Amino acid sequence: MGLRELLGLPPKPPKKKAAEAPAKQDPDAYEDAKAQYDKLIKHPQFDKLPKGARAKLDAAREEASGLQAHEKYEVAAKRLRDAVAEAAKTLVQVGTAAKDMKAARTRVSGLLDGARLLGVPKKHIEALKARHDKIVLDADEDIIGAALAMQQMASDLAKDPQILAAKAARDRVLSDQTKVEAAAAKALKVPTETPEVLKLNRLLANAVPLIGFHAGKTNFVEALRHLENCEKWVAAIAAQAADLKVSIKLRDQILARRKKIDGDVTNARAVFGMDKESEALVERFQRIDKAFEGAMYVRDYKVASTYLDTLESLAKQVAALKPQIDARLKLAAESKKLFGELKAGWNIIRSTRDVTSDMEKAYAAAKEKYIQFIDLINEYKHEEANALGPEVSAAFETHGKAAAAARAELDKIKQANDLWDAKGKARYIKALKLNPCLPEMSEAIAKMKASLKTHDKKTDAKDYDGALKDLQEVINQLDIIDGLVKKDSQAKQDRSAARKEFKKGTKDFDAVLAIKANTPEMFSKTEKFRREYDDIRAAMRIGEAGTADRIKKLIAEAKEIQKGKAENAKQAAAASRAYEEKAKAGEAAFVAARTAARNFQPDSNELLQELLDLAKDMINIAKARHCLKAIEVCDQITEVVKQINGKIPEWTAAAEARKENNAKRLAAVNKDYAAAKKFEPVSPEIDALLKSIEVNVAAFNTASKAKEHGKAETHMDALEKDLAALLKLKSTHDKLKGDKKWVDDKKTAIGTDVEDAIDGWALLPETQDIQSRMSYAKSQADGAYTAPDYEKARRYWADLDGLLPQWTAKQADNDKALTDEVRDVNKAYDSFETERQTVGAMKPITPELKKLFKYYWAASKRFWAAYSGLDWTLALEAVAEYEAAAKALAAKKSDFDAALVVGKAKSAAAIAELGPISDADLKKKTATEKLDLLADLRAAGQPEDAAELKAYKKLQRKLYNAIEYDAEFKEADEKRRDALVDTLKKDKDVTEARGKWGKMTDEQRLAVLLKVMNAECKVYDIPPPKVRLFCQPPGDEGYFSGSTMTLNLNTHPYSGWSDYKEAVNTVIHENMHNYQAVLERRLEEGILTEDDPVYVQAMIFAANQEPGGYVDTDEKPDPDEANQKPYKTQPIEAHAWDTGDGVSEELTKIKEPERKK
Amino acid sequence: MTRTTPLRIVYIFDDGDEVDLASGTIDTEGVIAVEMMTEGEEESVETVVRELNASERVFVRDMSNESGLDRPALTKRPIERGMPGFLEELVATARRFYKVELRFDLSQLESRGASFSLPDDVIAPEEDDDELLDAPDSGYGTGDDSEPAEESDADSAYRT
Repeated sequence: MGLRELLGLPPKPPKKKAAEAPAKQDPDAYEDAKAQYDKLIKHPQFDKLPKGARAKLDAAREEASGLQAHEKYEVAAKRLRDAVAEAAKTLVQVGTAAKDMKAARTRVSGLLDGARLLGVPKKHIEALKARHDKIVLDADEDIIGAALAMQQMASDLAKDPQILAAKAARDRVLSDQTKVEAAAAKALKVPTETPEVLKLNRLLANAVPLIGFHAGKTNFVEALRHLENCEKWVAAIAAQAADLKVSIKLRDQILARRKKIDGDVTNARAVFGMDKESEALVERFQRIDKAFEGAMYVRDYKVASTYLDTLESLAKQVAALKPQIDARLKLAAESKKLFGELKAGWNIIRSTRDVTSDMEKAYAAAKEKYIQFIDLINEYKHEEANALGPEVSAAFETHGKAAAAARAELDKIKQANDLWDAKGKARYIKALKLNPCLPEMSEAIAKMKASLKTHDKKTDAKDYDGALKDLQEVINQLDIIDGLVKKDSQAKQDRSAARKEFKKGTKDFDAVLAIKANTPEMFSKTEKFRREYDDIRAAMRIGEAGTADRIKKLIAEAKEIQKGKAENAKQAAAASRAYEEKAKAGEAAFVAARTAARNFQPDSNELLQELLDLAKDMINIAKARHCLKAIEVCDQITEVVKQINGKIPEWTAAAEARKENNAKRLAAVNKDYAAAKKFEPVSPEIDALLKSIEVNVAAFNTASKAKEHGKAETHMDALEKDLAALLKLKSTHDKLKGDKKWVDDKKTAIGTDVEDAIDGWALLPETQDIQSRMSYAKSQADGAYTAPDYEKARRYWADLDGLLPQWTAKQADNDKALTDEVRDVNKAYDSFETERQTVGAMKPITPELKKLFKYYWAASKRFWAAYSGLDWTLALEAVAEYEAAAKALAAKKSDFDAALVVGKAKSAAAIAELGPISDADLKKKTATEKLDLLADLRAAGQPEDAAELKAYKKLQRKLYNAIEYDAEFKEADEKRRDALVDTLKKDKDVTEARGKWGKMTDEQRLAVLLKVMNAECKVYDIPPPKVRLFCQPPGDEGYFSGSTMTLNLNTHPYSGWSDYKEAVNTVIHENMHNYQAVLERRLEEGILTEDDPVYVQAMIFAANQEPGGYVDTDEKPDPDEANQKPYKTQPIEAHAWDTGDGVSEELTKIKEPERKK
Repeated sequence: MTRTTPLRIVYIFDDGDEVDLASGTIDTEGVIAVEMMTEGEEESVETVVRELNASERVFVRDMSNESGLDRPALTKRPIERGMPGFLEELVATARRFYKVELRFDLSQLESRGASFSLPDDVIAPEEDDDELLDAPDSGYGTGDDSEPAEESDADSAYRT
């Protein structure tokens, strides 16, 4: 369509000749142009005209309109015609552009969809989509420009590197997936017998299914990433072939040797320490046993082999104790039998009333012996317990003889018992179940209970005649109660009838109660109404006969009162004024009386309280606009003010007496205070008392100065109490002070030698043992000294005092063991002491430093394992790793210093935020925000200063307390827990064990518990840990060792092992720590990613497990955290307890009963 | 001779609601004898009572690192039947594993001789089957549109 045609114009006229005369101003010419304009703007595509072209047209239209107004019709017409022609031309272009735009947009959308399907990164797709959307938006303004931009975008997309990469990824995945998966499947069959292959196997096993998973979602970029990783790991496994051969050979050698000592190890695991020496031996055996199992678990066979000699030697020594343990258990069985016999005798004594002083004495002696016997059993001192048995029996016999001599008094008790059994007990319990309506019935029940209490008291006071009388009174009251049962039933019926009637009047009653009486007449009526209303409520409660009739009358009265409501309302302002005037008038007297009364506390307490209660009532009543009632209360206040003023002379005299009394007491208190001043804060209890004393002294002085002698007296009372408590602790104090001095002297005498011994080279198993015991004793002693617990500190310094000569005695032999190869190792170790010191001054406060520290600690552990195992070849190899790790870390000292500056600022900000925030507000933060706060708090590492460390730990506990389960994790975890319960409930071996646990052998029990553990591992998708049994007197029930990946269970016959519920609970609880450790490792190895439902919770667990992040049981909460056990509620423990208890409860709980209706 | 005292076995729902399952007696040894069971709950009650009566010991659970491990271990200190503290822990065990509460007056079992009183919560009074009255008393209140006096009248001379 041509332009003219588009505009609906006639064919083009011939061109004008140049010489033609100027056109005549013809108004019709303009009208024609205007008609063309109007036609154009009605064109269906006109709104697609670009903004600029539209503006130009509008400007021409306005200009033409102006010219037309000046009758320049021809010029106006030309201006408008030209503009219309140009716009029409653009409109034609718009049409073309719209077609181009549509085509380009389709192409771009297709390319974008394709890119999405190829797994081009989301961010890139989003950027492209944003570009596309902007062009589409621009098209509204400028379709021509937009069409060009869209065409350009289509062209760009065809060359987009990320899309091209995704295409390449698709091609690669489609072509190589099967090949790589096959290679991976083969690699996964390679025995995981080096630490490296073990790790690669874990990574590969996780990555292989992800190729197919992402390819299935057409995310080829991600699929390729996993495919390439798999290729890399397959190659790395292949590269381990040589190491594997060596490793497998070494493993076989180790297993062969281990098999030879299996009998000793099994026996040794059933042995526990019976004295200090054997405890130390067993402890060493257990440590080496666990370390060996741990090294085998992580396939570090070189390290495992270093333990074998020691393990063999220790297992033999410990297993040799087995007969003693068996004898001990036999003794335990004997003492258990003896306990059963003595318990029966004790129960007779316990249920016999001591009626003579001989019986009392005999009871006290029997009790002392019996408790001594019980204590010995609880401490597992069965030999001593059994030896004590005859003495306990003799003491019981003495009591029996004393009881026989007191037959007359005992008969009275018997008489009471018989009366109670025959006429009392059953009726009494029945009476307690009554819900009486009648006051006399309630009164009889109260009297019955009171008489029984008096009976008990008199029995305690050995007034058996009096007690019998009281018991008779209980029976009398029971007779009264029985006699009232019918009447009470009638009263209940009356009460029911009254309640029905009352309901009818509720609306009228409420209306009257809502009236604010403003006139004396209304006040009198409503007050009378209120009195009757309250009386009726009381009568109704006790089922008083005739109450229903009274209610009917009250309803009528209420209706009558309401008639005066309008008149009453008119007087509201006057009543309010009257109240204000009254209140104002009494204000000064009230204040003066209140001040005076406060000065004379506690003598004035009663009147002061009455005054304050009335004032509070008055204000509340006035606020509710019951002004006349408020005036009445104001009058009552005036009465109390008068009483207070009248009492002042009496109180003044009493205050003087108190002053004198205080002065008299002061001399004695000052004497005690002077004695208290000599005390030192040698225990937390004494420290608290000393502080309280100082607070009361200051408060006493202040009160005395203000002449508030009553208050001063209160502080004097508290002071006397504290001083008495403190002085009572004099011998404890002196002993602890003595202990402190003893420790201080000992430190001076042997402190340096002890430190030298701990830092020295221990080259023999014996010297290593002594050294490790000294090291433990020293750390305990230091901790106890700081606590302060000087008694404990002394105990450990006494241990050190005993161990030091042993060390000295072995020093010559130890020095002889210093061979050339040991010297080489020592020399290599000494060569990087500077770096170790540098590392000692650093903390793992950045991700990079954390990684390096982990490597450093692992290298150190490996070195010391080789050193302790006296494997000098491995030690030399390990020391090189250790040195490299130390140097790598020390090289980052400047990074650490810089991070510390930033970290300190972050930590300070976190402390400032965490300190004041309420627990509730902290809980409202998201898990990520809380983790960020925790990271900031730790940004400078743990503080060195004890007070700062205490505050830091408290904030850490506060944060843990506020961290709840991540919602996504919780949902997934609950499903797993349910699945585990289902699995266990379906397993007959597990469910049937419940009924026969007591008869099962240890092997049978272990088989059931392994089923429980393996089911848990399957449901939670984690590898089963190595299970190691041990035996020691109950206490430690079991634990999961993350460093050795072993689950350790106590099999002592009196431990939870003997109880099905507890044993299952322990396994589930401890295996959850395995799960948490696996999550942490998966997080570290990048297997867990942000899109995983357990990711956030794994971050929480990892934060809890960071160095210094675990709340130990000896971390004492502050007084404001009373009754909290933060070590049980920190994230990893809370989760283990919840799962253990949750699953075992589900397994053992009974069927839910029907709720009561 | 062992003393006994009345006992209620009560099931506790997660929301704190409760239902009586049985009543009977418990003795100083913690041996339960059931006298009356709620209809339909016989099997549950028998399971709980059989297993609790068969327990030679109960366990106090906590954590400790007294053994010098890297981390505190789960500790379960046994209390043999008849030992001090057994009855308290028996109650905790019943609650933990069976969701039931054993309600009895411990002091009755610990007292020596003719002490007959019972605390109120051991015997629950029967409920009032009549509709409870919820009528307000005739107090004057503090007015619907007013704040409590302690806060809003802080500047009043009559403030308390």
